[in-house]
Amino acid sequence: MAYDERYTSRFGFRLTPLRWAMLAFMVLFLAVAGYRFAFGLGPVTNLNDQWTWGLWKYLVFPAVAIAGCGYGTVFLAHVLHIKRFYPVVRVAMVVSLLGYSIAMVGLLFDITVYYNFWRPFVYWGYTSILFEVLWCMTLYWTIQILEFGHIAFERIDAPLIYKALDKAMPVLICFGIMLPTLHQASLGGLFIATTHLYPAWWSLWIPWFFMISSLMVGPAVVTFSCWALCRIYGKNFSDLMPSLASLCLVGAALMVFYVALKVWDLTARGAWDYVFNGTLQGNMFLLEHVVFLLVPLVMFLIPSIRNSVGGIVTASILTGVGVILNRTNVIFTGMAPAYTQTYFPTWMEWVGFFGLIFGALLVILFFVENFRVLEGVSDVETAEKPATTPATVQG
Amino acid sequence: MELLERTAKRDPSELFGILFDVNRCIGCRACQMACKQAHNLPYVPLNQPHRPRGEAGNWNTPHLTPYDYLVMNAYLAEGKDGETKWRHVRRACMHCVEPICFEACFVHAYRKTPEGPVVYMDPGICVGCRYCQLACPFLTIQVEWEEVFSRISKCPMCYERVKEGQQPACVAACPTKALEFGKRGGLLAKARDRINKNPDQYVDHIFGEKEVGGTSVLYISSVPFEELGFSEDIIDKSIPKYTWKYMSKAPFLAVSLPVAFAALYVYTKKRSGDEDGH
Repeated sequence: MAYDERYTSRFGFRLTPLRWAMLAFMVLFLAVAGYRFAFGLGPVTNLNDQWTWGLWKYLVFPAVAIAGCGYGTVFLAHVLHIKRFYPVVRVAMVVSLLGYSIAMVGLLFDITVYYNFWRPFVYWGYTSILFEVLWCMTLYWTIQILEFGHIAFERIDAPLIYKALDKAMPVLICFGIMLPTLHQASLGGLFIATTHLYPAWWSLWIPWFFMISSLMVGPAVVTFSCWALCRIYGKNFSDLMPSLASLCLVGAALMVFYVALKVWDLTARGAWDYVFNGTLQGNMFLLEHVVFLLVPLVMFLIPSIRNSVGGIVTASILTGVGVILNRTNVIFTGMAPAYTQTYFPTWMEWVGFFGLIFGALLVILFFVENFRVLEGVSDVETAEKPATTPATVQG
Repeated sequence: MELLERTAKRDPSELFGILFDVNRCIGCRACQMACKQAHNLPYVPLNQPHRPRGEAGNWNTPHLTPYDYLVMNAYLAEGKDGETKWRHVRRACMHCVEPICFEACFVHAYRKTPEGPVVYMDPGICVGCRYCQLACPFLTIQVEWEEVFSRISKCPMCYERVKEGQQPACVAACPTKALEFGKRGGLLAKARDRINKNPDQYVDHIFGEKEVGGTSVLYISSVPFEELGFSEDIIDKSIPKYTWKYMSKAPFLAVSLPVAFAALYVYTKKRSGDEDGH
């Protein structure tokens, strides 16, 4: 199995001015990180006893939601073996891995007694929903690293490791998908306990809303990532359009389910008054569900929009913003009425926030430049490959 | 130990608790000082800029801090007694019968002691995730923000003293019997009796009787509790019941999902293999 000819024997990373700027920002990020770990959260953040989960803890939620693109796409491509999705599954896996990496490092930044991070694994606080979140996230992160190893060792010459990973893949995949299914729900489940959350969002069904929204945003994230990467690396995005259009149709079906469940939930709890009462919370709820959920849903359902590059990318961006807005609303907007104090992050919290995101972006770019990510699953397994090869040769 | 405490069938009326009568309190803050002394907490002036974080210098409704397990808040309110005057309200941990902080802690740093007090017993293993603080329906859990390795700070209802049969320091210091200590069942009966005998003096509501499934600290007052800084939206159900209902499903899913995925994997792999063969 010969690796792509465009790869030389050495690893490389093209440095554009923007990437230099991001690397420079990472230096500032490391300085802030050092300060935070030496002096604690008090001097670094504006957190207080009411706003105890601030910007860093918040980052975990949208990062993991966006990383939900991994398990959904892997399920379609590798569990159900739908070959149509093979070309985009690796992009989904890499974005997912980096989403989780942001979350795990972000959590380490946010916990005050960081040298105790291992304690929950030993002290077994099985009644806590956070316990399930931590176990599943840690295990799944490990599994994702191994799954990425399967991609990386195609290139790195270590046949024994590659073969072992190749053998383990089915197990890793089947066990691996269970973990995010559980913890995406549990991340929402964390907010069952916060009964002071604004009633439009607080629901005993919030775990399932978190899980379904992480699944439905997946196709949108994959579409946007593929589009951005194709632009950066001068690939032909329309080659991927058949895969992505089908994928987004799956996403749209999930969005329909989400909307139906939401309508049922609000009706059953009699919470519609909280949506239309004109408060900041009510209006944000409407913004989230109309502009960033119903509009992209309709766009995905109209074939002419779904099959056009501009249409599918726009709808994907709207969907992505919608899910990020949902997590923002649950953690900030929806909590605000219960609190009397105010919170706005310090500049150091913002540096940590963007540092983690920029770091992840740089790693994604490095992976895409050096490993066969954008090319999808390797030739041998791809039955549809002969159809696409001439297109790339001509292009 | 911890498992025993969690599964123990406790009679809520046998737990120790505190009854606070807003009508009797004169706002002398003797309880607050006794608390500081009993727990060796430093005196930090109210007007220091970092106290409390995010809202400095509010004299009448100060927030709890790591150096105050207990503070007194004052509200100008008209009561059932017809008077508009300053009412003093005790702010501290409510010691829920089924505490969500205990349930939400993923290292078991908390304990719901058999006697009743909810105690942050094991700071050494605390990770500092602050989920307990986020989940607390009464917002009475504090974090030592000024420390490098910040930990939790909350009222332990003087557990060491209670265990030895003594009263908590705040109750012992109260000169007007606004604070009373005893078994929760007895305190509830006493509160009910006082409300029934003086219907023109008290609103017909014992705060803590039903809130979040019951708390060991109970309040009675001539002013509706919404006007005394208590949230109107506190639910009457025990929150751990909700979270446990969710958590107890996890083991089932953790086993059944991978099996289902593996079955689908094998089935669809075989099918796609057949298709390739054609």
